[in-house]
Amino acid sequence: MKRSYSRLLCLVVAFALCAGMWAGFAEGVYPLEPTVTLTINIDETARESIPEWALDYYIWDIVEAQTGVKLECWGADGRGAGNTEDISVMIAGGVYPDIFVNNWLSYPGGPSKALENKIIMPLNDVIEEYCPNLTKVLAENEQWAKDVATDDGTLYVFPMLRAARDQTFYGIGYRQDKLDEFGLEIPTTPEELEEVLTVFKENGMECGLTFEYRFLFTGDQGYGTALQSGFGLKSGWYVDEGVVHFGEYEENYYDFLVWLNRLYENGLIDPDMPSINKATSIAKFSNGEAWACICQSAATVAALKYLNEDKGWVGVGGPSLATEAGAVPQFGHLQNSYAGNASAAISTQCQNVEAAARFLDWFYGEENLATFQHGVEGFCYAVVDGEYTRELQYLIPLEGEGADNVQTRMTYGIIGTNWPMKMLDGLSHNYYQFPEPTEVVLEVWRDNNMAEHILPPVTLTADEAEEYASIYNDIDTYMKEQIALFITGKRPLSEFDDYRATLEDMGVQRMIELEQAAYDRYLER
Amino acid sequence: MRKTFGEKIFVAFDMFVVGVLCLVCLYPFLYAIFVSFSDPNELARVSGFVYKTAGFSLDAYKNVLHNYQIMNGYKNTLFIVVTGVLLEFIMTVPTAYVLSRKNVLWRNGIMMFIVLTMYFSGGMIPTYLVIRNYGLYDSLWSLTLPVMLNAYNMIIVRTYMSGIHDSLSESAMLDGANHLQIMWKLFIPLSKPALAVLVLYSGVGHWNGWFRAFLYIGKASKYPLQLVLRNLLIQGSELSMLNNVSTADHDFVLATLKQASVIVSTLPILFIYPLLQKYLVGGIMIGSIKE
Amino acid sequence: MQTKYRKFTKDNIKKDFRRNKLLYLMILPAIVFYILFAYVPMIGNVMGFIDFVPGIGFKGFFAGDWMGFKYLRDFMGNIFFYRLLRNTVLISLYNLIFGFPAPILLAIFLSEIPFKGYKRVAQTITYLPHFVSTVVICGLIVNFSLSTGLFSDISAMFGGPRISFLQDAKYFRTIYVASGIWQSIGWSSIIFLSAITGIDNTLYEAAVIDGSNKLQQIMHVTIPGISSTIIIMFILQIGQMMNVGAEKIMLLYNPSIYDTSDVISTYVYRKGIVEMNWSFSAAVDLFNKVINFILLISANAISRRVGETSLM
Repeated sequence: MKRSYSRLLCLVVAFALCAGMWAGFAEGVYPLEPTVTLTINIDETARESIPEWALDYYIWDIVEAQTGVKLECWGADGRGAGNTEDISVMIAGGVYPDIFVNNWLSYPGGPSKALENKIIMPLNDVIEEYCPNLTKVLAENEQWAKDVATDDGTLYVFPMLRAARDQTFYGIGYRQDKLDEFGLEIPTTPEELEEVLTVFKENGMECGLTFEYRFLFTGDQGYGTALQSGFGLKSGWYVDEGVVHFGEYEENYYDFLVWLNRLYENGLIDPDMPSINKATSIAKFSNGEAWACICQSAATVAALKYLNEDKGWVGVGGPSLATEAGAVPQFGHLQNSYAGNASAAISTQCQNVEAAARFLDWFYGEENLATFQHGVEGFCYAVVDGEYTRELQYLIPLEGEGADNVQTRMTYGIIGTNWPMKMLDGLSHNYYQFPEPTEVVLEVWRDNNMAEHILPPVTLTADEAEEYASIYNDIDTYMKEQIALFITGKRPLSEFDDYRATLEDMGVQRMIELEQAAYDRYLER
Repeated sequence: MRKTFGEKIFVAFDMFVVGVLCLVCLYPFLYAIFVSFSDPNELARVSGFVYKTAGFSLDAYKNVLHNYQIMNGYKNTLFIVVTGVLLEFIMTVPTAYVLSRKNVLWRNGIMMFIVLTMYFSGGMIPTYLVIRNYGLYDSLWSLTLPVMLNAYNMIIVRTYMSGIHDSLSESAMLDGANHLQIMWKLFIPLSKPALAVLVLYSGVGHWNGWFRAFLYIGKASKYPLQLVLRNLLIQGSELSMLNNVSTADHDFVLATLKQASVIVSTLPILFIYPLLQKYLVGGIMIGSIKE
Repeated sequence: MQTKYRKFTKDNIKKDFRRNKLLYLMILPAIVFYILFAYVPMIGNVMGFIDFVPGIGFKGFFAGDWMGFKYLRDFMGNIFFYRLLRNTVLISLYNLIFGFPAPILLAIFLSEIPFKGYKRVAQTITYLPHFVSTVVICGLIVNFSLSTGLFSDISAMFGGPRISFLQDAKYFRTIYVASGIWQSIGWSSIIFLSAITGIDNTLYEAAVIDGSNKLQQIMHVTIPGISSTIIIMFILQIGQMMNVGAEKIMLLYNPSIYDTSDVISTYVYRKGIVEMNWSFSAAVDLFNKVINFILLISANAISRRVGETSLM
């Protein structure tokens, strides 16, 4: 009885969606006739592992029914960044799926080189002809239109575009209950943070501010930026009034190191910081060893309260540090809306370019967004009083292992966050166990001027890229090692000038020159 | 034979040292057991040395046993191990037999031809291209065919066979048996210990292997167990650079799940091992019987 | 070893072929196998000398520009070259000095245990770590090495300081080699244990009659009895000098101890694989192979001259 009800509901929903779509498209190209099979390098849940209760709502089935495209998953998943080696071999190997998902911005030599090597195809004509949705999305947003093309205006990708609210997800977390206990305010400058940590330390905190060492560098957007912001810079690339900077080469970086070294010597940051990974640091924050942490997820901070109600623990998000009290912090974690990842190109070996293009374009259609980002109504979400909700009590009751867990439902019911599409605002909130408190934390983490300093997705020419790579790789190794030694006091800070001189010998200025030129070209687009 | 006092001391010391080593070697496994039976939320609060379960929960095992990928991985691994061992056996035995014969002009030449391959393999990408060109990509055969003759294991068997006394094969030859018959009826039964080692090394090699699958298998439905496991294990480690996914924090659930899968994937091989152990004692005699 | 068929005269070749036709037929599959799966990919070593073009399969080896020794020069001229070479060789060397004898000792210890049950259980347990994934083993090692970890607990027990062992360059090699022994001692001891079991029992009886004690028996019967096994294994290991795998090191190291932990393979991983600098990886790879092979051949030749055992 229950089953037939859900089947019926599903049919109704599917019908409604189809109807909506037909109305949306005068041409009515979907579903494609006859059904097309396309290969793609993603790794989707195998059909066999979907529990029976979820079968009717399985998102890829719904997508297949609506687009008329059957996907054949094949090759290394290009959506994450963990398959570098595999993707590298696949590219060298020379047999590609029709739809090639990868971060093409990080292809050595950049997208232009990938085009030149005839791995992926230029898409300007294709998009113009077959992709009204993407064309519309790009036409409405000048920034995106600029970001997703090469310098000469070639389109090469169906991009994943993050909504504004989902561009920030790293920041500092504190224990609110401990701050209150000792009458402290949430710190806003490096001095205040040092003060807070000192008081914490005097009052029994086992382990200082904890974070993974890599956070001080990772990616151009920087995860440990919240700290560096207190010294008016960030790690890696950033822009200040049209000039491109490389944080680790800045003179001010010295002040940051002096500060961090002092914290380390005084036991105010985790003594194991250089060797732990983020899981360990979060464990320390979650089990009460550390009272401050750079967190990879606002959810961790927010959840502290709910998971430890018996102990009265409360987590709170702290802002990026400012250079002085009352000033606006200039930097913080922010990812470009188009950061290159999880974006799909059409490979040169694709036999049916039209179908591939139409299929990918489907995901940018206004009407289709809800389908694959929210799932089927009643299965993944419900609308109560005009508000989306994912509370189980409003959803269709289903029976089976995991059916009573909204998170599990969503693993089958929606496409994850990594997919070439225009993400709905706040999509990642789908994943949070406690969405509202998490949003409060994120709100604090977003409150800075980073948008003015972020380096957009610039592209180097193939020749430049080769030169850049050969410089960057060694600099990266050198600076990560030296900075660790400076922080832990194994190399005296008086040698900071030598460190900078070595960076110069290794070609840091040339590297900055290349990046500046790329940025200037970007502005010209 | 009566033992002297000194010998008794020696044996006691010996057993003590081995016993300590056993404890040390058992630890990773005990750790996996402790963590896998722990309650994720309790585990999150444990710091330092794990010497007992934190809370108790069977969820991790439920998850593993309901995980299609893992169960399917078992199936694939089973196929790989069985075909892999069979193929290697069929290829290794005649090769080792021929190379253990003395009156073969090209013997050392062939030996050099084989040893050279141990050192000058083609490297990752050329090998990948070759496998692709042979049409083996995405097939489970890509995990067994290209490694069906392992020079190292072959040398072990061959050295054992050279140790078998010539008079045996010569008298068989006089009775009119040919080399195939001698190999089949005489050398295979006589080399049981070395062949047990071959089966063990080859079987465990295929059981534990993931890297070839990582390169040559594209379809997740064909992943062997260890690759599924590895993908699970490296989540959150240095090797995984997946760090921009802003999902809720599953780290602790993952921790128990990871260790449960370690246990589940190790147990079968532990049960099979004692079956081979009886051949192994008195097994490899690489070079220990003089030619 | 010496036979009248050693010389490759026309006559001998003919005679040999007529006589051993069946044997050659039996080894034919192996030869075909090696040609198909080892010698054809070997052509790929040319990659280290050309600018490999991806995406066009085997043609990619010949389509790119001839670069000669450029990639090798880049590698050798790199500011990290000396350090990478030193770390690689030192880790291998320590492995040879400490890691190589460990399983031999274990095998001798196991063989001297008079109780069969204890012996079997001990064997099985010492093999266990071989079956646990490197990722798990390394996770444990990292946890043990923290300032709050097991090693610090032990150090504190003896009045030492609590330190983060993986942040001090001087401990890395010890941790790497020791944990390697932990992982493989049982598994590697199989070969030696079986060799010991193959020793003729009468030799021990004779030794006892001569009045030698246990230690003397080990020195004068057991070790000579397995010496050829030891030598062959030693030769093979020397031929691995330049191979220090990237995976385990990457799971253990961090930038603050690059000074002792960064090895050729990890550098190639960062520079070659992640940057998709295929030709560079291939050139360094070839460099390692050539050195390994030279070491193997030398060790083999020395062994053949000094003793009687050799690989070929």
